Amino acid sequence: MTANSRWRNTVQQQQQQSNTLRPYLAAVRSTLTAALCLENFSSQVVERHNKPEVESGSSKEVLLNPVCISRNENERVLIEPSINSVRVSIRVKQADEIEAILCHKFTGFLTQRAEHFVILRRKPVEGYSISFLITNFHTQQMFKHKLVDFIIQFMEEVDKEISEMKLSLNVRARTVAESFLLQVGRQCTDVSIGNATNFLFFYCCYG
Amino acid sequence: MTSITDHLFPFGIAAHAYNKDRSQVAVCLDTSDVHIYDTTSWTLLTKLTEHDELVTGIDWAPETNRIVTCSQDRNAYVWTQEPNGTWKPTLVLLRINRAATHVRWSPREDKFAVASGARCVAICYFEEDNDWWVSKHLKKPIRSTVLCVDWHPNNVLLAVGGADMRAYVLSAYIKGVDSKPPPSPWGEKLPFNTICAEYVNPAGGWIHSVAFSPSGDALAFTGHDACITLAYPGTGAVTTIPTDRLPYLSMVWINEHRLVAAGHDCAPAYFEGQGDQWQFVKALDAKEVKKAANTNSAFNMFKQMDSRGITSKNTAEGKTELSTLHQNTITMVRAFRRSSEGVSEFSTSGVDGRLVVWAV
Amino acid sequence: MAFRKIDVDSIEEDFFREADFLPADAAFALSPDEAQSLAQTTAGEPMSVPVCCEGSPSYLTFLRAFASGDPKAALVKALTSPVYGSGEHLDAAKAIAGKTVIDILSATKSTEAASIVATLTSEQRDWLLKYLYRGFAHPESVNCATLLTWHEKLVEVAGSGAIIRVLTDRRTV
Repeated sequence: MTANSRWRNTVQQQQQQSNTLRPYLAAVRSTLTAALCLENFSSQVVERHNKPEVESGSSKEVLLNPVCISRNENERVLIEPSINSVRVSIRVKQADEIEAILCHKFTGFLTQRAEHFVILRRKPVEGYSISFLITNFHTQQMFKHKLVDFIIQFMEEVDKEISEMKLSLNVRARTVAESFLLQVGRQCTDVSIGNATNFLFFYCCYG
Repeated sequence: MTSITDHLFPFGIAAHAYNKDRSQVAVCLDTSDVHIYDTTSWTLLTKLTEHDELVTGIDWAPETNRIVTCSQDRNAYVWTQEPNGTWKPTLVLLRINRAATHVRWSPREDKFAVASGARCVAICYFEEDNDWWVSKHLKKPIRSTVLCVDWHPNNVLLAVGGADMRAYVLSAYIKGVDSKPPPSPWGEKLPFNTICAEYVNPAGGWIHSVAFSPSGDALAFTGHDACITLAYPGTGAVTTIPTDRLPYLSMVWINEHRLVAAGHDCAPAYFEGQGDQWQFVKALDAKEVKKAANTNSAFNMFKQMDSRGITSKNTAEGKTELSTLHQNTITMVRAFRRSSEGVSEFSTSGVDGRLVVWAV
Repeated sequence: MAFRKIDVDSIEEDFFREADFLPADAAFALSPDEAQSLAQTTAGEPMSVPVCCEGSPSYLTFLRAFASGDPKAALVKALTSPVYGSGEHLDAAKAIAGKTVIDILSATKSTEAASIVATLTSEQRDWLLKYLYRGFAHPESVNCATLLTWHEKLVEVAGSGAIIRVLTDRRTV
C-alpha cells in the first residue's frame, strides 16, 4: 500500500467516523437516559446492606438485560443496568499500538484518582478501556440529565485527547530524531553515512 | 392544569404524607429522619428520629391521626400524638429480616401493611391483650422484594407488586379485626392469604406501583417497563398501555375512568378510559404548566448559581433546566383534596426536593 | 470453608428462579424441535427458502417475502413473529432471525427508515429495537452505521419507553 492510498483510506475512515459519531452519541445518550432510572434498593440477600446490585449480582430479578452500542468493531459502550445502579463501560478507539498505550496510560491516570471522579469505577470491565458505576445515590445528588451529559462529553473528549496526545508524541519524536540525526550528520562527512541518516530520518518521521 | 403550590426543600424527598386537614405534611428525607412541616409557613414542627436507616415509607391515618413509618432498618413505628403535641413512637413487631420498603394504612385505619425485602408483606394490627402492634405475614406466592402495596376499599383485600414482575391481589383478612367482607369481583370467601388474582407484567420489569380504583373493582399497576396495566376481574379485561416515556413510580386514581401517574419522567401523566379501552392522554410538562408564582428572574439566577453552581452561560448552552416542573424523579403521588367527582387536587414529591400540589 | 459457598437461597422454596422470568403461558415462538429444524435447514444459506421446515410457517413466509424483494413486508413479518426466549436450543434459530432482520435493514435505504418505522405498531417497534441492540452486540458482522441510523429514527418515534422495554423484557431475541 503506498503512502498516498493509505492516507486516502485514513481520510475516508475519518469521514465515515465523523458521520457515525453523532448518531452513536445520540444512541448512547438515549439508552443511558433510559437505563438511569434508579431507586434506593436494600439488598434482599444480606441484611441491612445496600450495595450496587449490578456489582453484587446476587439477585437476578433486579438486574436488567445488558445492552451494547457499537460504532464499529473497536469502539463500543456496554450498559449494564440494575434496580439501583448502572455500570457503563466504554471501549475507546485504539487504531494502533501507540493509541493503545496512550489509552491505557490515560485511563490508568484517571482510575488511580477515581475517588475524585465520583462515578468512575476503579477497574474497567474486561474488554473495555474505562468503566463508570452510577448508583441511585449519584442520581439523587446530581441531575440525571447532567450525568448523561458528562458521560457523553467524556466520550467526545477522550478521542480528541488521545489523537492530540498521539500528534504531540509524533512531533516530539520527530524533533528528537531530527536534532539527534543532525548532530550525527554534522559530525560525519562520509556520503554513505549521510545517506543512511537520511533514510533513518525519513523512517523516523514517516514510518 | 396548574400547580397550586410548589415548595422547594433543600433535600430530596423519598415519600410524603399529609394530615387530614392538610395543615401539616410529613416528609421522608433521604436519611433516617422524618420531618413534619406546617404547610402555610413551612416551618419545621417536629423531627421523628427513631429509625437508624433510610426511611422508605410513611402514611398518615387521617381519622385516628396516627403516623406509621417503615425503614430499611427492618422496623416500623406507629407514632401517636401526645396531648402536648409531641409524637410518641411505638415499635411494631414486624418479624421481617430484610428492609421494609412501603407502608399503607387500611381504609378503616385498624391495620396497616408493610412491604418488605423479605419476600413477604407484614399485615399489622393492634392486639389489645398485649398492648402491642403485631403482624401476620402474607408469604405465598411472593418470590422477591415487595415494592408497593395498596388497600381495597373493603379493608380486606391488598394489592401487592414487587420485583418478581407480578402484581397480586391477596386477602389480608384478620380474624377478630375484620368483619366478613361483602362479595366483590375479586372473590367471595376470603380467608387470610387467599390469592384472588395474579397478573404478570408482559414486558417484564418490577412493579413500582399498584392501585385499586375508588370502587375497588379495577386494579391498575405500573412497572419498570413503562407500561400501565388495567385489570377488571369482573369482565376479565386486561389492558396494557405501553408508553413512550420513562417508567412511572406512583399513581393515583382520580375517578373510575381517569388516573394520574408520575415517576422517572418528571412529569405527571393522565390516563383515561374504561374497560379494555384505556389510553395515555397527556403529560403535564412545561408547555402545560403555568407556574404558580412568578418569582424574580434575577433572584432565581443567583439562587441557581448559589445552590447548583450554574451560571447563566452554561444554562443557555447546556440546558440545565428540564422542561418539567420537577427537575428529577417524582417519588410519590397522593390525592390531596377530593370533591364529589373524585380527586380534585393531587400532590407530588420528588428527588429534586419539590413538593407540588396540582389541580386536576 | 466449603459451606460458605453453598447457595442456600436456591434451596429455599419461594426463591425467584430464572425460570420465573417468563410466565408459564408466554409461549416461545419456536419449540426446541422447530428451532433445530430451522437451524439445520437454513444454516449457511439464510436467504434461500428452506424446504422442510413445517414447524414455523410464519417464519418461512417472511424469508420468502425477503427473497422475492419485498423487504418491508418481510420486516413486518419478522417483527410479528420474532424468535425469542432463553435456552441453547434457540441460539441457532435466533442467530438466523437476527441476521435476517439486520440484512433487511441493510438492504433498505436509510431515507426510507423513518417512513417504515412510522407504519410499525408499538409492539413491532419494541421488537425492532431489540434486534438493533442484538446487532450492536455483534459489531464484527454488521454495519454499525446503518444500525445507528435506524436506532435514531426508531427512538425518535418510540421514545425512551421502547428502550426501557428492551432492558426489562426477558423475551430476548
